[in-house]
Amino acid sequence: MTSERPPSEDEPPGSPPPESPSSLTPPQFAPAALPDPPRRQHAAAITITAFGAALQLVAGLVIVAVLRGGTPGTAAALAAGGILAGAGIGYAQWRKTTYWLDDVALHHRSGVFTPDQKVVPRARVQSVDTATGPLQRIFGVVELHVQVAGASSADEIVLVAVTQAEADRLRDELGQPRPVAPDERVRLGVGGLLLAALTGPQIGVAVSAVAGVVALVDNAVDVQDGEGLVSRVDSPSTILLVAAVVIGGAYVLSFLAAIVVFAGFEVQREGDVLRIRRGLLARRASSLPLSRVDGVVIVEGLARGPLGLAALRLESAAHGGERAVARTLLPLVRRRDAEAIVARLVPDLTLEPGELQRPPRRALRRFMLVPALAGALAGGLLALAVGPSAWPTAPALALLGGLVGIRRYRATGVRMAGDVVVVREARLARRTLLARRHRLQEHAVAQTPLQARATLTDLRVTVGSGGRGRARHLESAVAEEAFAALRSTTGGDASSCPTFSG
Amino acid sequence: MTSVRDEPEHALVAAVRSMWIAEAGLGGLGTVGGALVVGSAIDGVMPWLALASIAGVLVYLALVPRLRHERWRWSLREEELDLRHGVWRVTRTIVPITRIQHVSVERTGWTNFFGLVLLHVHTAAGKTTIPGLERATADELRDRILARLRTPDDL
Repeated sequence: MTSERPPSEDEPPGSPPPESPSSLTPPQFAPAALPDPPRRQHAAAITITAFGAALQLVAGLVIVAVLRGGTPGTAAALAAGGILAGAGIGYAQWRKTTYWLDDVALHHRSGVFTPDQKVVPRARVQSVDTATGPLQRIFGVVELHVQVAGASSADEIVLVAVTQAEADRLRDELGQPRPVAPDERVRLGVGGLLLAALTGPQIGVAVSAVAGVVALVDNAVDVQDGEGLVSRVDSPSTILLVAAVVIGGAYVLSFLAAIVVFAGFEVQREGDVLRIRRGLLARRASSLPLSRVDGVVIVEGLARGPLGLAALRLESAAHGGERAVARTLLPLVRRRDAEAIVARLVPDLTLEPGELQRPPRRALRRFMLVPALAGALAGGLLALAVGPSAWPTAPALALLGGLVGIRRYRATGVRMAGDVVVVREARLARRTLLARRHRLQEHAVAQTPLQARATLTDLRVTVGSGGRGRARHLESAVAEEAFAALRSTTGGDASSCPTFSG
Repeated sequence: MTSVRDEPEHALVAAVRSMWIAEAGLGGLGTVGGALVVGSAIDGVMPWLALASIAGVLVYLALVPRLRHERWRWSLREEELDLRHGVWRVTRTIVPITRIQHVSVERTGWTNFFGLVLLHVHTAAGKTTIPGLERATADELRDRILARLRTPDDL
């Protein structure tokens, strides 16, 4: 299945098959001196594409079958159909995908029904990356990404399977260096992947997935017994049950989504470039010059913090507004290793040993007061709405608010460590921002009259993505010293900044 | 060399106070109107809710624009834009000039009426605004910042 050549009679015009290269010329301005006929990917692409397509099809079809009350037999038949269809898709896509080089550009033609042609001028090729997923490893091929300067990831050219020799040829042709051995490499193993998926719900993905499932169920139920479901959802216990099912389903879906997004996560540093590869069905590769990294945030989520785990997130102006997934430097690290791993991957963020400067003891009640009042207010409003029997929620929520305040107090701290400023705080998750001082976008101190009376001051720093680190209720002297120190690095001395030349 | 205490020196033009009072007044009309609607829907709260909302709006009008104007200070220094503002929480912000990506001067019919303009300073992280300058001051400030902007492609 993976080795045969297809018949060539129904080729699209202008992309002759690889076995008759000399008889036809490439379609556009290819000079005779550089004959590079349109090529297909390695035939392993059929299996690799088919696998991904079949996985999606089978999952969708089986879910629909089960929801509509199908027997295991129908489900199995649908699954078999999905696999067959996936194989068909894999074959058709391989047949219709060709690429060729001329002296101006790299051309890529794909699309089964509607041809989609991408032309990347040689000069705009930013990097040629290769990645090896598990399926590629089986066939001894590599996946190749041609990244384009200033283009979105949808515009890059991806070949799911080419031989290593072909990848090297393309690299040489496009004037890109062969990959050097990475200076540093960190991988996420299977255990780490499972743990990351279990502890870090992809909430956004889960919400959209739940909405999709609800719509699907709605449809399925509607077809079978009309308004049956809606009329049965009336007693509180049914509502609770439905809520539990939806939340459980969301969790399962977010778990699966995290697996799909983060499988095979690998980050490596080659010289002054970070390369990140990830993904199960579609491998994503991205690279970022270290000079563009403003900082890294160590995020200890609600589920991960108590387990001593954290995720690392990149802060860079290049990532402003992107989803959290795209900004992930590593989905899971042990908290105590986090700073060391950051230093290996982004040497500019190496910390000198030292301690965080924490808010003084007298700041504790300020951290507690606002969340406790908010809790009491929310509980009071609930009691007003539901009835007097709900009054215990007010003190309970006030207590919870107080605990949130204690957590924030214990998390807060700030530290100057060479060219790095460290700001730790607790929002929902505990976040430690390590930011390069001379790349801060702004920094600020703030004080209310009440804080002034207690000589406490807030400190805030802002990095290029718009991300912020804020340490509240610091000793005023500490905050002002940090403020002055940041002023002397951020404003002045741009010539010593190594990235200044662009 | 520098501390929080060497405050920025320039105040906003006095006309910005009138503009803020006018803006807050329009917002206050909305608030009172909303209070009247809610009050007429619920029995027994009508006179109190209306009076309270009017009193609240008047106190706000009397205090906030004036305090806000009194607090606002800005300075363009050699390497940084230095701002201080805030009515309750007073914030002191430093924007390094090398981080500024572009500068824009906003002039609308509304701001023209008060004879002032708004100066927006954009960095990769977002926008910072000096909300009440004379037009000549703003243009000069813009030109001084632009003259010091260096490589724009170093984000």
